Amino acid sequence: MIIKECVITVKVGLHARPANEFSAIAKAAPFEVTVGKPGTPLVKANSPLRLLTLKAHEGDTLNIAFATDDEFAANEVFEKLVATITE
Amino acid sequence: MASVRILEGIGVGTRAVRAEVLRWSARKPLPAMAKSSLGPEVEVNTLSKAIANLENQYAAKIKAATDKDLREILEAQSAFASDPELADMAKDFCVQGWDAPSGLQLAMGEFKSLLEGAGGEFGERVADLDEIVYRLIQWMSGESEETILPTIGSFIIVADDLTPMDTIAFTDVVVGVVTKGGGPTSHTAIVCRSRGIPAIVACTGADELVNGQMVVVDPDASQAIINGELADIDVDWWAARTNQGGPLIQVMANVGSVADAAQVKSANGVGLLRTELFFLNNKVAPTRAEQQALYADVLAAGPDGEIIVRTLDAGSDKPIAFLGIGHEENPALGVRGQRVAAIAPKFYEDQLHAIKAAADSVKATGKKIEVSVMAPMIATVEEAQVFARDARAAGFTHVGIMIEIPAITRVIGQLKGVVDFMSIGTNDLSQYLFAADRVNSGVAALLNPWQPALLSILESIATDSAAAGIKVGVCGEAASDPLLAVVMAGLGINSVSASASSVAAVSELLSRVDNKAAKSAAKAARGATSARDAKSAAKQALLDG
Repeated sequence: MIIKECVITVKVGLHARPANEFSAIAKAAPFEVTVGKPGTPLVKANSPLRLLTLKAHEGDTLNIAFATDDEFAANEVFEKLVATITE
Repeated sequence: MASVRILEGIGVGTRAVRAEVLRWSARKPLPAMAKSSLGPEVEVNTLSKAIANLENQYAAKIKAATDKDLREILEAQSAFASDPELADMAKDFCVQGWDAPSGLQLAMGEFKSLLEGAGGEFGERVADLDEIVYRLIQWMSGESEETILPTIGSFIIVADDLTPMDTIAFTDVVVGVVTKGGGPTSHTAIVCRSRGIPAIVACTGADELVNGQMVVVDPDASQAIINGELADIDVDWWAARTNQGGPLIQVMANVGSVADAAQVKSANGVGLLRTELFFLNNKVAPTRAEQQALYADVLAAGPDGEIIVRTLDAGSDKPIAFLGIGHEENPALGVRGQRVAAIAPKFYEDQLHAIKAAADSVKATGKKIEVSVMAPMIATVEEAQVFARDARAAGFTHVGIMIEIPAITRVIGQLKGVVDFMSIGTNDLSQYLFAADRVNSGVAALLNPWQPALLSILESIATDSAAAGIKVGVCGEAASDPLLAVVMAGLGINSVSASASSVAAVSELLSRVDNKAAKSAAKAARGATSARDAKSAAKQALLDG
């Protein structure tokens, strides 16, 4: 399991288009991706409904967990995910 | 003659229409919770088929949607409908013995409860979830998916509220919309605006409208008028006024991109050239040379004459990644506009020099432009002095500031000799004057630019500027309203800068008034005690004189 952290900078937060793109990338990943705000349980990142319930706004920090030990593969997915929620 | 009744709401669009009411059939209540009599296997199967069907419906509609906003709304709803978490949870309820509609409602109920109390954009998504449940259950019960519209005639659709799926079904017979719910930024308003359908949203009296009644939808006045006549709201009411040969005050254009600039090539200068829109997607700061190239493109594409370039107005609702503003609890009251210069001094200095270099290079091609700069969000004379010093050091001879913070309006006399011109940003000025968030539809009425207090402060700014010998213009959205532009002229404002699509209309009406008429319209508007009365009083003054 590899955990990485990032900050949302898109104005709308994690819903609408950013959430759709985010879940699509998680879905396509070859391992499970989970996400949550610090101190709260992680939810499946391939579910736009679960992402919505995080109520993650612009400026919020997210922890993203990758169910793999392959640092390189995790990083590749992480960068794509970050691109959907940053400007 | 049938009695006329006026229902108030929030208008979307400008063109008034008159047609008969067609009530959008209210949705049937969802079926009561029930245990399955057919067994889990059948229920799970029904559920899977319903979801697959809805996915297909969305796919077809997304493909057909030409409007970007509508497409994004549909894509988001489609993604929720095909969420595996929803299907899995609903199936679990079916395995526990519930029928498919109940399993679906129970599953979505869990997501909804997690969103409850979220407010804002997240709370509003609950409506999307309800929409999906409704569509799925409608399919399961074998009902037709769309309300049937007549194929001939013209109708004003009246509903409690409309979903994107509803509005997408609208054909040419729908000429207007009235909804009880919604706000200026709701789905209904966005879709109606983009499709050019006049609408009144948040119309609390919409229940009074019955099928077959003739109703006028007048978005300009934010009214639905039962038994109204279009003649009463003639849009060309000013046509009888003589054209004086040119606008009473200078009409400039607002520009934020090369495309805007090309569209207003015939305008009398640019009163507001926004620079932040170039950088909203930049992750790293542009170099001075990159900036210079961007500005040169837009200056070359735009009109001749006076061009006022506003330095970066970032922050708040216009975040720019590379500036490092960070999270703020109240970004509208935080580090934004000129305040950003302190945390990004290099960008600030680069920008002033890049604008000057771009102006010089475009002038060298023979284009007749005079480029000046102004700073946004100036609160104090000291801030104005610092900006003027830096801008002059970069080579500008004509330097100005935006007037959008109430504090600076109290010390305009002290700006004499500091700045050469001022430009009033009515959007932010209203936001700060009325303590009303620009992006919160719940307080939209306070931001009506006809509010008497805003007109009063415009007059006071104009008077103080004249005494200080500083030219003052208005570049906010308010200047795109032709009648309000006339009132501004009457209040003593020296120029207006309107959105690209409004320059022609503003010039037209300003060409049909003289100073005396504008002053009487301004006086009439200033005497009113509400935004609505101010607007109608100004119009009446022009009709009378």
